[in-house]
Amino acid sequence: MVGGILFFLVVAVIVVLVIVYGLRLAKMPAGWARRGGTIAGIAALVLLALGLYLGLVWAPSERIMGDVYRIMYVHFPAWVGTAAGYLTAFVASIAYLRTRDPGYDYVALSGAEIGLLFNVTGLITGSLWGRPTWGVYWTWDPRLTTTAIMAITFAGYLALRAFMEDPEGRARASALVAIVGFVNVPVVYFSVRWWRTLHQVQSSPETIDRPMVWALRTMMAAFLLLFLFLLTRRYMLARIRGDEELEAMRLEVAGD
Amino acid sequence: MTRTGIIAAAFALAVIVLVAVVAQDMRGAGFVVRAYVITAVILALYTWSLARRLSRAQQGGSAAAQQPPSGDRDRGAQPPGEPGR
Repeated sequence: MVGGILFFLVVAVIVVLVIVYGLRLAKMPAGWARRGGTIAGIAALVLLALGLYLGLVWAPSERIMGDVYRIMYVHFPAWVGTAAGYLTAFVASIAYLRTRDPGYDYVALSGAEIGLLFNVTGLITGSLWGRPTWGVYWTWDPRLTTTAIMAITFAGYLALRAFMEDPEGRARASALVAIVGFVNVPVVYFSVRWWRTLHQVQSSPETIDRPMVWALRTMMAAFLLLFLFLLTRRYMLARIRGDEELEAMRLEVAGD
Repeated sequence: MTRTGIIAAAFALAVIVLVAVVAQDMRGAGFVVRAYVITAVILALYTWSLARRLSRAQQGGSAAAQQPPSGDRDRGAQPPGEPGR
């Protein structure tokens, strides 16, 4: 019980930190963002190396699934990256609609793109886990279906951005898509409890061996840091391109 | 190739070697190896591509900053002796 509450508190703190970092990124000087991203990247590499050792070598085999369960050490952290990406896109989109500051639009774009990257990784690793445990790579189970819908929604978000030329209209429309798309994230999380599904319900740390828990926590922290590194770098790219686009528009208006 | 891209590619390669060696005696090794290799490749490719795009954008930005300000920018980009269009 205490472990469960502690776990919930840690998750809540991480969620708040991701939101605060995402919002601060839009106002951060470029040098700070670069340094912050680099520190997150180095820390991610160290934790990834440690987590891979813990997950592949140190943690014991699972009683029923054998070694196939070790896919969990990349599958579950990929969902942590997905949730962090879409949460960032959601919060930054609300901030953009309130302030019309293009910095938040760049943060939202970065969060959505990296969220989709982890989402695709999670779907592929999940399929590879599903084949030996369920007998199929894919089934239209509620968890899998809602996850696929989530990926398609955010792929649509990126496609929409690619097709719209007006920066303000594009930012407004894509912010709305990100907000509506995020509604699916809690549905994905609770789908295994709300409906009868093939996918297992969330495990709690009390039901898993300690080495497995620590390997999983290390990999989750590593993927979260990798997410922050990629988010920062993607934001820097979006900022440069956005500034170039605004400058080109200014020159065009001045030329008229 | 950027430094970040090289680090990402080297790390992905190390992961592939590690999982190929460690998973040899595992039950269902094929699925474990495939999951880790695909994850490593996807993440390394994206990191490599992002680092390259960022590096190019930063070079483009610094080149633009060195261009002469105002309307001279277009004329300055023309090779000498070419008539203006």
